Amino acid sequence: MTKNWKKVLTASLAVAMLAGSLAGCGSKTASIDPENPVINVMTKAFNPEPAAADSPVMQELEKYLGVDLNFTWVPSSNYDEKVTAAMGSGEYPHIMLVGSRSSSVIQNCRSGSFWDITDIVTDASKYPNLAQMSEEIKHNYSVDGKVYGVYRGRELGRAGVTIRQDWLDKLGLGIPTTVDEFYNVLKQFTEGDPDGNGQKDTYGMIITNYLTGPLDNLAIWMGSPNQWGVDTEGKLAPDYMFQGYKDALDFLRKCYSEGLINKDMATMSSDDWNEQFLSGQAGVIIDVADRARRVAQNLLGINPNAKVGVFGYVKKDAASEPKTLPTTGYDGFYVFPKAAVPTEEDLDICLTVLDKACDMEAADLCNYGILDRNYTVEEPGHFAVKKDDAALTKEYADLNQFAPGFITYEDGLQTKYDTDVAEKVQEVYEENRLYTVANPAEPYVSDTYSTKGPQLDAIINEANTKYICGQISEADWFAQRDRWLQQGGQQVIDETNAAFEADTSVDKAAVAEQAAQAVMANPS
Amino acid sequence: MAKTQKVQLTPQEKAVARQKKWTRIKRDKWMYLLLLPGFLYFIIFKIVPMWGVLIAFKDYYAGMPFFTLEHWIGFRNFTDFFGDSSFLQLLRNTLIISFMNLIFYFPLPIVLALLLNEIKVQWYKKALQTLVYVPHFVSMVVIASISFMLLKTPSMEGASGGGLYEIIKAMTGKEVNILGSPTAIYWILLIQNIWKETGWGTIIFLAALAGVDVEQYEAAIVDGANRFQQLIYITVPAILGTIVTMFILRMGSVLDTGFEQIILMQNELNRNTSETFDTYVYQVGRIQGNYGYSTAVGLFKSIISIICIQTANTLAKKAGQTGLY
Repeated sequence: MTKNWKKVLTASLAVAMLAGSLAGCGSKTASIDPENPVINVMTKAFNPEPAAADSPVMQELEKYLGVDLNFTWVPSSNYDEKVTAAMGSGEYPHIMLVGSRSSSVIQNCRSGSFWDITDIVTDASKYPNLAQMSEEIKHNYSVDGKVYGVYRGRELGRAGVTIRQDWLDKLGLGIPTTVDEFYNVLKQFTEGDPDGNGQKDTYGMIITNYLTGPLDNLAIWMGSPNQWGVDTEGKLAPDYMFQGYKDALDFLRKCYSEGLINKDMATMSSDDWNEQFLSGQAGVIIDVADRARRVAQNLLGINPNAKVGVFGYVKKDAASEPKTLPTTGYDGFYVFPKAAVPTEEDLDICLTVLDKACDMEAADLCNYGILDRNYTVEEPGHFAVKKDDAALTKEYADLNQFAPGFITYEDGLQTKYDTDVAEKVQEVYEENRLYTVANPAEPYVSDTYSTKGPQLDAIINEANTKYICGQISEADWFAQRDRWLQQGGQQVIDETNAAFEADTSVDKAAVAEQAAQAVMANPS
Repeated sequence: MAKTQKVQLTPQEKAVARQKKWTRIKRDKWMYLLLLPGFLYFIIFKIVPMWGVLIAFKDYYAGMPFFTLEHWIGFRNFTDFFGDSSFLQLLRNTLIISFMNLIFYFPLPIVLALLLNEIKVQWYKKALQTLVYVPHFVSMVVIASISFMLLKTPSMEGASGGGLYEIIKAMTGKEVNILGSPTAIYWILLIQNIWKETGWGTIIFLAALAGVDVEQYEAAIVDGANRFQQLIYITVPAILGTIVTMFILRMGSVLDTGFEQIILMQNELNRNTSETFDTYVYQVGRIQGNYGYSTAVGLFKSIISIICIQTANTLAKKAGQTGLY
């Protein structure tokens, strides 16, 4: 008896293991049931716990959209990695957010893995909201001139400088308007004892290991093109080929050597960007304007006397035109993989969902939750006051990441903030938009850049940081720029120019006339 | 290693031998069935995926159908990699980090194990042993944060930096930016590694030490050997086999530096000297999704590893030690 029992046990164990190892192989895609649609969505999450499937807000949203939503929330920090993994395994959701046009994304677009929706989304009778998508932004993320997704709209004029307004007031300075004035503010913040404690314990501006942000803004102010510029022969060239970029580097190098920016900029994590601003050690951050709002909110509890100001740009000098660095206007786009969305009827269901998600009602749901449950409305001007309760906030956490949000409604809800800098942030956005410098190469993806881009960027980033910190000379910086050209940078330039030439939708003469500048040659 | 002479078998004898084999297999069929899951595990998860290395020879992108005859590019990924100017830099950095570990870290668990072994008070020895294991369970992220806190340079003149930074400043009078130094990164990585893994590394040597015959020590004491002589002539030879085995295994991973620790400590000022094969593969493969290219790099690493293991194994055998195989 015992022997038999053992036999059965071993046999069943072996079978179980075999079955276990075979399971997981093979999965079939079914098209979406139009009666009872269930849509799988993969998108970014910024909260540790995004809205759950059983949250009342989620259920309200599903009711409004008329579908069951099945979210895969991916932390924003490793989003691109997850997209590549999804493409590699071929296991797709119906609607997938793509963060950037990596080489795999482009290949999948070209090989027809994703639906080409160029001519579908323009149908205003079927998709009244999607038809309002900006042609310019769509062009910016197109692949070979075709549109493969619905973008998530973002503020164009988002750049801005957060500054300690009370320090300015104490030193008798106004908001700087030119680069020289800006330098003077940094100098005074460092040497003029802005906190009035009689000690030299403050400095001007905080820069972190995310140097690119502040540097690009400075470069634009000083006349550099945005990422790509047009030289005197009408050819595209990257921004570090132009004088304005180098001027910005020299500006920062000077600030660094005089102690106007933090000595540990290369090793400070951008997560700690606010820390020394909040503790009253430094008074300037160049980043996005809404950082001022968050900093002001945080300062309320720490130092109620501190006042936060914000401005969008300074001019190169009193005589020059203002210039600002725009965002791309979008943050990723939703694609529809044919493996999960096999027929046009299925695609129609997916597009309808995103179209409806752009409605004002859906947008308010995603941003604020349910009226009287998650927020109350304060007249005038439709100000939503969010209820300060973690459990209630969690009910709609990250749903605003799902909404495409490229339409802003005049009479939609607005957030009520406790600090008065919030209004100024809005003004900065609006003013910035008037002076944005467009990137003429935004739509084009060079093959070399999509495979070697980060390594190439690393060469320039490293050279920039070392140059600012005074570790390498000007000649070394130019030598590194030449190394960039040799390593594949020249190919990137050639390929980008080829794509620019081939693009018939752009008036090249007009672009060249607007922005032509001489490139800056290596002096040695 | 003399080879046994091959005996010529008649067809009849062969048939009998085969029959015997089958009878044995039949007799032990449940044993074989028990073996099956492990066998399948290696087939399914280790052997079959090896077909994946084929993408090293393809212009592969995520989502490309695997069984196509298109997209073959031969050795282009390899020639691209060897032709890349960063190749020599990666090789140099990887070898420096790896050999620093081999020279400075590898002997430490052995020394620590020998020291622990000499402790005669059992409760003290046990307590100490447990204590030295603890750092192994501390996450690398935490260790990196501690390093940052200790070595941080001040943001402005007059402010104070991390503890170790201040000590070095007081001792040498120099303000050293250790976190941003292109050479100090090697020592930081090494010291982190030593702190974290030395205790854990003693386990295998302590196990070997536990197997040493006590009678040998008794005989040595009778012969008048002192503690140090006992260590040199009995203990060390007894665990030499284990040391050699560990060394050969170590040689197999000579190009593995891991990426987590390095990425956590990397910044623009030391990237040039700290980028290794592993961080490069992570960047190119996982982040950029350039699987074909990174597989080629990984395959190159594996081939070097096999060569290293083989060489170390042969040398060990030549030196009279039992090798790994």
